[in-house]
Amino acid sequence: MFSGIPEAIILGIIFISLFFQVFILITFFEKKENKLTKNKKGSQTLFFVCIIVPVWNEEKTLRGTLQSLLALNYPKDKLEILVIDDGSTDNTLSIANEFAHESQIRIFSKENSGKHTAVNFGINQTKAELVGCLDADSFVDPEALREIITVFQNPEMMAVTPCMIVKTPKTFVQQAQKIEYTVGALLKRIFGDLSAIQVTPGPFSVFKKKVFEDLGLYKKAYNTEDFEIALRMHKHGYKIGNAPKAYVYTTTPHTPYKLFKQRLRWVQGNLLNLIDYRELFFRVQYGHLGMLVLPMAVIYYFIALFISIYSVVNITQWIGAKITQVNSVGVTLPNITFDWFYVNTSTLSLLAVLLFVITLTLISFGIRMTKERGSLLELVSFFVVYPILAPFWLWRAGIDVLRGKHNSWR
Amino acid sequence: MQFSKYIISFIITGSIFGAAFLLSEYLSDKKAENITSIEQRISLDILSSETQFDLLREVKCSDVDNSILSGEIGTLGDKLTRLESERGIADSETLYLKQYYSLLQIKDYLLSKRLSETCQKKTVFLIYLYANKANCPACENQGYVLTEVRKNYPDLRVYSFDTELDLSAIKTLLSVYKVDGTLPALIIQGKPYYGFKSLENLNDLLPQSLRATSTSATTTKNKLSI
Repeated sequence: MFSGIPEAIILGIIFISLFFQVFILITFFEKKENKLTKNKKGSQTLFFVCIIVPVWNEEKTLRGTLQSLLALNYPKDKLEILVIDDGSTDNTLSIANEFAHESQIRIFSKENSGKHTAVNFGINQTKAELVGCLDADSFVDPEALREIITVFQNPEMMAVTPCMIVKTPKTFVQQAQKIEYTVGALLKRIFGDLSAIQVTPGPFSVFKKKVFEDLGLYKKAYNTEDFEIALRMHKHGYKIGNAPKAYVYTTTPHTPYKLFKQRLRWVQGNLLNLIDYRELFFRVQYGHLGMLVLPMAVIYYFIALFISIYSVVNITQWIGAKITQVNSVGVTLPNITFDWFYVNTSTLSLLAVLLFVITLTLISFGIRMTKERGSLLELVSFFVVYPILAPFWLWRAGIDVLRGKHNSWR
Repeated sequence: MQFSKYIISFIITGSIFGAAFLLSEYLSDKKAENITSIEQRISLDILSSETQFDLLREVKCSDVDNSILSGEIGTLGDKLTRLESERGIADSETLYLKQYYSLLQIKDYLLSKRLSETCQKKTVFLIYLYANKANCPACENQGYVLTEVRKNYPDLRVYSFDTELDLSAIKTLLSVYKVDGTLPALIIQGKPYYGFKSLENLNDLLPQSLRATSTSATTTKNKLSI
C-alpha cells in the first residue's frame, strides 16, 4: 500500500512518535518521586488560599461546584471562595446568593466581558498567598487542595496543576474524552517531572499570587488564557508543578458539535499563542518545554493534518476498489482462512503495531493513576471519535489562523 | 537539562527501528522461502506428471488420476500477490518468483492440455492476460470476476499472466494466441476474447459441459444481493 515518498514520510512520523513515547516512558519509569510530595500533610505550611469561581449562565452546575469547594479538607479560616458572576442572564446569581451566608464565600457581579476578566477581578479582590480558579462546571475531590499544597512546599513552585478527570461520562463522545483525559493526566505528571507543563487548566490550577503581581493578570489570549499564562510563566522561569492525586472532576462536551467547538477554540488559541511565544522553541534555557514539549505539539499538529489527508486518500481508494468489486461480482462474503503468510509484516506495520501497544500501555497507566475504571467501550470510543472528528477541528483551526478569524468561547 | 535522556531515547528508538526492520526482513524472507518451496513442489509435481505422461503410452488413461495436476497453483498466485504488495512490484526476488511462477503455469497448462487430449478429458482452460492498473483499468474488475468464477467452477483450470513481465515464454504465448494487445484478454479453449467480461458474459462463454459442474448454487447461499 505504501511506496516512495509517502512511505518515507510515514516512517519519519513513526520515528518521531516513537522517540517521544520512549522519552515519556523513560521519564515515567525513572520514578523520580518528588521528595517534597513525601512530606507528611500534617507538617505542611498551610497557605491562605483563594479559589475564584468565574460564572456565566452556570445555573445547572454552580451549586455542586460550590458544595465541593466547601467540602474541601482545608482549614476554613485559610480558604476563601470568590464567586464572580460575569453578567449571567439566567438564575446563576440567585443560586450563588444561596451560599451568601457561608463565611468563606464572597459573591461579586459584574458586566459580561469574558472569563479572564472575571478571574482578574477576583485576583484583585483577594489578599491570599495562593490563588486558584475553578470553572463552574467542575467539582473538586475533598483532598485536592491538600495535595496541591503538598507540592507548594517546594519554595520554587509557582503554580500547581491538578489531575483532571471526566465527570460521569454518559455519551459516546464523553467516554472518548474520559480516556483522553486519563492520558492527559499521566502526561501532566510526567511533564511535571520534566518541569515542562504547558498549560494550567481552568479547573483548579493554583498559583502563587506573586505570579500575577510580577507578570501581570490573565490576558484574553485568543480565549485560551490558561495556555498563555503557562507560557508566560515559563518565559520568566517560573516553575509549574503537578499534583497527580489532586482529583478534579470536570464536565465535558456531550455532543460531537460541542466537542468540535471546544477543540476548535483550544487548537486555534494554542496555535496563536505558540506563534506569540515562538522564542521558547529550541532554547535550552526553557528546558524540556522548549526542546521537546512545544516542538512536539507543533509536529503532532502537522502529523495529524498529514495523516488525515493520507487516510482520506486511502479510504477513498479502498471504497473505490470495493465499489468496483461489488459492481463486478456483487456483495460476497470473504473466505476466512488464517495463514500467517497473509499477515502484513512490513516494517511499517510492525512499528505501527508497536506504537499502538505503547499507546494502550500509556492509557492503562493513566487509568491506574487516576484510579478510574476503564471499559472496553470507552477505549473503542476513544479510537473512533478522535480519528473521525479531530481532523475537522485541526483543519478548521489552521485555516482560521491563516485567515485571521478568531473563534468565540461559546 | 538532561541531554543524556534525549540521546538514550534516540538510541532506543533507533534500535527499535532496526529490530523492526530486521524482523520484517526475516519474515519477508520466510515468505519468499515459503513461495520457493511451493514452486519447488509444483516443479516436482510437473516433472512427475511429465514422467507419468511419458509412461501413458504404456499404461491406460484410467490408471492416471487427476492428482497429477497440481492444485497449489492458485494458492501460489495469491501468495505472490501478497508478497508483491509488501515488497513492491520492483523487488527483484519477487520478480524472479513471479517469472518462475509464470513458467510453472505454462508448463502445467501444456501438460494438462496434453493429458486432456490424450485421455479425452473435458478439461476447460482459461488463460487470463492482464497488466497494471495504469495500462489496463478494467483488469482490476476482471480479476474480481475471475476469483468468483474460480469459486463457482473448481474444475476450471485458470492461468493468469502479467503481460508486463519480462519473460519470453509469455511473449510467445501472446503470439501463439495472436493477442493483439487489448487487455484484459481471456483465452477460453484456445479462443481469445478481448475487453472486460462480466460474470454473466463469462458464464456464457464457458462450455456447457463445465457449466453443469457449477457450484454457484451453493455459492449464492453466501452471496448477498445488492
